[in-house]
Amino acid sequence: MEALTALGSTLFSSLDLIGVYVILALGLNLINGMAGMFSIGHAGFWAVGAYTAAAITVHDPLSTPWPVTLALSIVAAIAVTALAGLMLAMPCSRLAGDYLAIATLGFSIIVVSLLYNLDFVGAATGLSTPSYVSKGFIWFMVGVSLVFYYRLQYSNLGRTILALREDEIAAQSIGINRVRLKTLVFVLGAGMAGLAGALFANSATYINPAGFEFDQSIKILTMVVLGGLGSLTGVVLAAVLLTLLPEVLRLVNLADYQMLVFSVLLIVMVLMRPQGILGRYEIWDLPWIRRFWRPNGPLQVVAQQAARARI
Amino acid sequence: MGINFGGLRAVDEVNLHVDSGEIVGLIGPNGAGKTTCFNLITGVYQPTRGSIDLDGARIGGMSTPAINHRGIARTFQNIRLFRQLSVLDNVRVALHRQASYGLLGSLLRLPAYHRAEADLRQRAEYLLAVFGLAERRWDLAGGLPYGEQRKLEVVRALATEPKLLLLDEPAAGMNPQETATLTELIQRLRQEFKVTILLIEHDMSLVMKVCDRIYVLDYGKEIARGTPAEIQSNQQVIKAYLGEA
Repeated sequence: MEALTALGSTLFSSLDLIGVYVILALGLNLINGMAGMFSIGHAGFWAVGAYTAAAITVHDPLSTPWPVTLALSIVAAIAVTALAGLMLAMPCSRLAGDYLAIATLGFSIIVVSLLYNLDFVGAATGLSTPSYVSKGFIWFMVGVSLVFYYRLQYSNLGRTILALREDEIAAQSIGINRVRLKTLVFVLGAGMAGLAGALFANSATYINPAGFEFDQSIKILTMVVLGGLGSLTGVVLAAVLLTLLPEVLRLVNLADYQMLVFSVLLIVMVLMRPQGILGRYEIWDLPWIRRFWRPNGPLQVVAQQAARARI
Repeated sequence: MGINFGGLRAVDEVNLHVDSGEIVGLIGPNGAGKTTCFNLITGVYQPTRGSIDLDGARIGGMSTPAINHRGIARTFQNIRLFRQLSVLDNVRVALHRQASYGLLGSLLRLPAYHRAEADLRQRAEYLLAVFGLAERRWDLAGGLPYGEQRKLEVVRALATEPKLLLLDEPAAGMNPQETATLTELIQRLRQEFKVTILLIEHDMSLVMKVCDRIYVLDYGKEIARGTPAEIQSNQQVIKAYLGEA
């Protein structure tokens, strides 16, 4: 019983971090899953968002009341990060596969080294940030992000993104502009990371450059791959599990073995279920959920397949 | 038009002309440069010489999507469907330029979104019904039988409302009965959808039946042109296909 309450309180105190990671993973899933590009520098965008928001709430340049400052910091974080996404995408949208991965990796390293050296955001010591947002607000934004992702995927634009992932040559032959679409996807994915950054900076009491290093990019990437590339609900599930795992391990005094557990988990996944927990399916493709509800969209196809494969 | 790959003249001074409403065949032995011609016309390759015009406007050098917007659509020799998408979505995505709502419309699910989506669905369903694929709408495109995949490629190309449709070996891998259905279908395409067709095909019964005129390529050069009857009796063509006696 005691263990259960401890688990409950751990879960509760991790809720804001879980929310942030869910949004991050959704943004990366947009780029890697829906569009089929391979970006491994997502923490770079996260850092841009977090530091943009923190710079505004800490320095408060316009001396506005705090709710206005908060709103301003979120909007600015999304805008600046989306702009960073645009600037990265413009030279990179012709790149594919490994080359794109290296470019995004380079971007995230540049961002972090910049942050280590910029004095007005605290350089290596970081920034103490005010905690303006509640868990409720973070999860409200998670909801907004989920709706955004879902509605994007089942729209005209979403279909063209999926088509581009399936076959670039065929997609171009039906008039889809590859470069423009890939750039747009990068901007949207980066924008979501910007939102996650703003929420993180406004809920954590302290941010520093070390929190946005390459291992964070890998963590977000792991969530996407573990959940199932392109699966909305799978990625959410993986983001929740992977954020909770270290906390739970700490609870049972196994924090030192965190990396071990992580690695074993990944190896087991790759061996047993390389397509991720849900693969390209969604939670609502499970037969017992499908009985009650299913969306009107391409998922009906997937549902059919799922029924055949009996997942 | 012409193109060099390094020192190789893959297509050399080929002069194709297709009139509106015509069905024109492009034939020749393997490696003659037929598909390369298609890739030149659709902007997959940029021509190194010559010009490509559509309705008097120069399209040579334009990008593939831009050329599609101008009214040229194609199918592929090695089928290139969006395999993980449904049959319906393969067609709906090709209608993407006809949807009249933007990103905001889809995110907020404005009335315009619902109206446009209903309209897209209806158009896609119509095309699928014409080609007898309506029953398959929720199947994954990659799971269709071969003949239906070829048909779906035609539907997808047609959905972009082209003036000129390029068909790259539409009958490849089809049995005689399927080919007969396809022959009818190509003739219906011209009548019902008012498209002009340029097609590459090895099945001579189909070519001779549907084409108004035929061009014959060999080693990247045009070796003959004319009506099906003229081509059938052309000595050079027979030589190119069968070798010298």
